[in-house]
Amino acid sequence: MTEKLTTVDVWDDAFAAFEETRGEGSMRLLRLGDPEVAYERCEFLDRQPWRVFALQVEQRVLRARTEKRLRWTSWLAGLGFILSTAVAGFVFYSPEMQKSSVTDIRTKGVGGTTPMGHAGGSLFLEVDGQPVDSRSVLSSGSEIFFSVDTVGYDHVFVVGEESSGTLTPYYPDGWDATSILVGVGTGISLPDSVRLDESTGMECMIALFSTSPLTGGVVRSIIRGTPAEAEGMSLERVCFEKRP
Amino acid sequence: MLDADIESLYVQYGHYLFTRCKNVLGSEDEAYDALQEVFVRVVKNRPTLDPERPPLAWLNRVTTNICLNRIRARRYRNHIHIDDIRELADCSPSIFIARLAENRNLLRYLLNGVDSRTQEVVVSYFFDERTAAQIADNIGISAPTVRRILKRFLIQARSRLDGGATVSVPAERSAIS
Repeated sequence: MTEKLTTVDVWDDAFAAFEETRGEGSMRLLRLGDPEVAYERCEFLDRQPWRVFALQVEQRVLRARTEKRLRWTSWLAGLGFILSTAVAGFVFYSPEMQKSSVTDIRTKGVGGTTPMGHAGGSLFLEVDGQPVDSRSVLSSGSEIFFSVDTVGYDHVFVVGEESSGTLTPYYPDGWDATSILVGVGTGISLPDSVRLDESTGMECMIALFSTSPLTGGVVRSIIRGTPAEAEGMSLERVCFEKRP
Repeated sequence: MLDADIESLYVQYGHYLFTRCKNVLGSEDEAYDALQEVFVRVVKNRPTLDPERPPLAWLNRVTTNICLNRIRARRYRNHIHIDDIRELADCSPSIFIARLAENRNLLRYLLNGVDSRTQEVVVSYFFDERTAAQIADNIGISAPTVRRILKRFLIQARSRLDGGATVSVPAERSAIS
């Protein structure tokens, strides 16, 4: 690089020449009363309506708050675990306990549907306070409430699959959203409910559990292509019959 | 959570901010995602925002920061090698500026590794297509200072391109550049 090309005057001239060729750029979009700008703005709002945008922003805000809460919870849980381990270590390895060792200890809850320590998820549907399973027959207009149990996976995406193969996202309620962080635990109720339409036949509710947020597109392709468990995620399906 | 005030911000500035994001990021999908992030910040910072002050300067600053964070996050992925950009270093300043304005992907690459004030000025000059005087007015510094910052950036950019090592810039993410 030569010195003559980097002198101040040369650069100043270059800036002036360049700016002369420019339009208004994005500032143009701030012009009030310009019919062309107003038209473009309308087109944008038609493509990305406030109603949809607001829902997506709201979901992101809620997700961020949940993540923040979970960070605190994890921190406290970690602290609790360290303390309880320390106490247990002290109790079980103390000379008193060594003398009177107990061999017949049973662990409460072993044998449940989701063994602790194995990552997985379960989806539960409820109509009028009654659980829904593969023998259930639901009428149109029934309002379904969802809850999940999660072990290891903390994100979920719930999709409805009609016998025709049509997929409808329910939680979150759009394909352009990502799966929601619900945390790890049992009996986690999902907000809102779904009211069944007039169509009849078999319908399945599918929950895809994962360790990280999945986009609607990924969820759709997994449901369409891979019925079995994929790496780092778990799929749960509850089907029922719909009658008029 | 999202009331009529925020809706009116979206209606008034949504399209403008979206266009800015699209220009800087080069992708409509990512621009829409970035716009959501901007409004998440609006919701979070609402209690601390001064209702007496026009919101546009704040929205612009937040939008620029969000876009720059995203460019920074892309830094190590989708790299391709372009051999002929080194020739740019030999062009005259006027041709160099014009060629750089056309090659937004290279600009995004060059934005990494410069200070935040320079990034803000470069984004405004090349992506928002503002003049030095408009940028000066917008961020509260003088026009000669804006030009000085741009000159320093461009001279540094030429040295980086002239440095001898193979330069790799992020691959295009969409047809928009």
